Amino acid sequence: MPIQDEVVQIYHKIQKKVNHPYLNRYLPKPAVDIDKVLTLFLLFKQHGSYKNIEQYVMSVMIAQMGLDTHEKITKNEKLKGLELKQRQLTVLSGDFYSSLYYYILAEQKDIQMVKWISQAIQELNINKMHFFYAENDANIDYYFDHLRQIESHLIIKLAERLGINDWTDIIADFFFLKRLHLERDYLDHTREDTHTSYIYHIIQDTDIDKRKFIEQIENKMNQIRNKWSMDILPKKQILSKHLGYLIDHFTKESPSFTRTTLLKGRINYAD
Amino acid sequence: MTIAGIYRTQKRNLKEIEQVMENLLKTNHTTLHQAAVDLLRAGGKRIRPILVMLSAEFGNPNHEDVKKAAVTLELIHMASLVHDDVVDNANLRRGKKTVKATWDNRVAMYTGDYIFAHSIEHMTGVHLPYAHQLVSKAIRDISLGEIEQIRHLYNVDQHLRHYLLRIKRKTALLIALSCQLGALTAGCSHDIVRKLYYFGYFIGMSYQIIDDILDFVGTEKQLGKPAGSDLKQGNITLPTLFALSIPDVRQRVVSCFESNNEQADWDGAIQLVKQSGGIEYAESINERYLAKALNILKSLPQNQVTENLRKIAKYLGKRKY
Repeated sequence: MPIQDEVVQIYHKIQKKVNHPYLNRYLPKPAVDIDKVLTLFLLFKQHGSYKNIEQYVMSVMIAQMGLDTHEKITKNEKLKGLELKQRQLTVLSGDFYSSLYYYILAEQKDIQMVKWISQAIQELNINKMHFFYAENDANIDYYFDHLRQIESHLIIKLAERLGINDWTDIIADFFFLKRLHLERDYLDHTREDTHTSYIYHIIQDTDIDKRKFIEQIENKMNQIRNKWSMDILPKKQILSKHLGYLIDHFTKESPSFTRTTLLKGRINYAD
Repeated sequence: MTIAGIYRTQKRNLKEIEQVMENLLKTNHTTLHQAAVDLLRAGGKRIRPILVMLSAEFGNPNHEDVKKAAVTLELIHMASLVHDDVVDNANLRRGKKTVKATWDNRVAMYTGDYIFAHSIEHMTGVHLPYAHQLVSKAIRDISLGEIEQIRHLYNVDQHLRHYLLRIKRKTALLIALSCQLGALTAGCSHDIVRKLYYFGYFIGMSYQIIDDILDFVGTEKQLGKPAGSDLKQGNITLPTLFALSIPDVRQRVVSCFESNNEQADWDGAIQLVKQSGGIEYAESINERYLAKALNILKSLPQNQVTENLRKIAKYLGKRKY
């Protein structure tokens, strides 16, 4: 089966796995990041010795979704009625997803993988604390460094554990770029769900100027694009088949995927 | 031996478990570390580790996996409490400020996720795939139970079976798992592991029913939170469920649920539930679970361990706060 078909199949299985009729009544369908599904799929393919790749991809993705869901929890304001119920269910749906990743891996009897993922989750939460509750003076670079790590921490740690270290920088770059793009949309007010923005909260909680942040986001995005044009894309032919596929996907829109490619119109790399 | 005596016999084990938990939760982020340490130091009865340790005495209690299971289950419990306080918007637990009240919801979410991940990582020290299947299934069912609890908030038409299923998932499963895992990691026979699971399940049900009774009859000082909190949050527990069968009480409760929280006569509704016979009814159901738990113990080898479990069961099932 072609890679993209397998990935789409896993994508639908994840949706089915996290499906809960009562949660569906009150909460939006949880987002499954197909880019992350593909990345995980190719990592396991590259490693070559995992039999039930589908189950592994599902477990890591669902763990990620559990953590992402908890990002939606609003701070301390007292809510009532439907909004309160939605917040309550958001907490609990995140817990539900977190339980599922362990459940899936326990079914696979892969205790080692459970250990890797749970360690990565701990580190990710520490990282988030450093991002939102910086203990020393923090500048924009500090926030960017942490944001880059937060965006792909589970996948990067997994890649390291699988011994696929040469992919990590490329993966971290891509998901960081994707996040920066999203953050710029939040700051441009082209998106309304600002409570899931990381930088929006930093601007509210610190005295860093919003315009400065937007300017730095643009600079950082350009830096990454230039790095890819100069260093990564020219070497694509000598990289492994799976990494080549991933880079192709990252830089081009694939019509099989339902997502809106964030890179569309932003990066136009010629092979 | 008294309950205090049982705790004394486990003092060294409990101290070791506390130490392991404190070491595990160390981090380089001050707030996260403080939130985790505050939770640890807020204490509690440590009923889950005690049950793991006591159940393990039917096999080899010194097996290294036993304490790993005890630490895991207590950390899972702690993690769930931090998130529960966000769900309930609770500022106090055991008379102390909650993580969300001391910091905010975001810190509570990260702290809960962090502790939960630690609990699972610690469990990976146990190399029994079956044990992982038990723990992961229990965690999944507990989280589904929490969702069910929200679903049935303010639902005055629910049945006894809804309540029982809810408290099974909310409380009894983790207590049952404590006994089951204690025996399993100590290398007990399948029969003993199974019986201890049911023993834990029955005392877990009893424990939650008593908790629900105390929410009506306890004082704010004893409870560490305002009395009647369950009803005010729309959580229909066993005393209320019984009281709802009386038309006048039902009308008053429904009227409280339908009106704005501040304007509702909660004290009046709480009084009516207390006078309805709901407390006595809940006590009678509790007695049944307690009797089932004690009955199971009769089928286990009769020794000091069984005696200690009997005392723990009676203590939990008859506690006043």
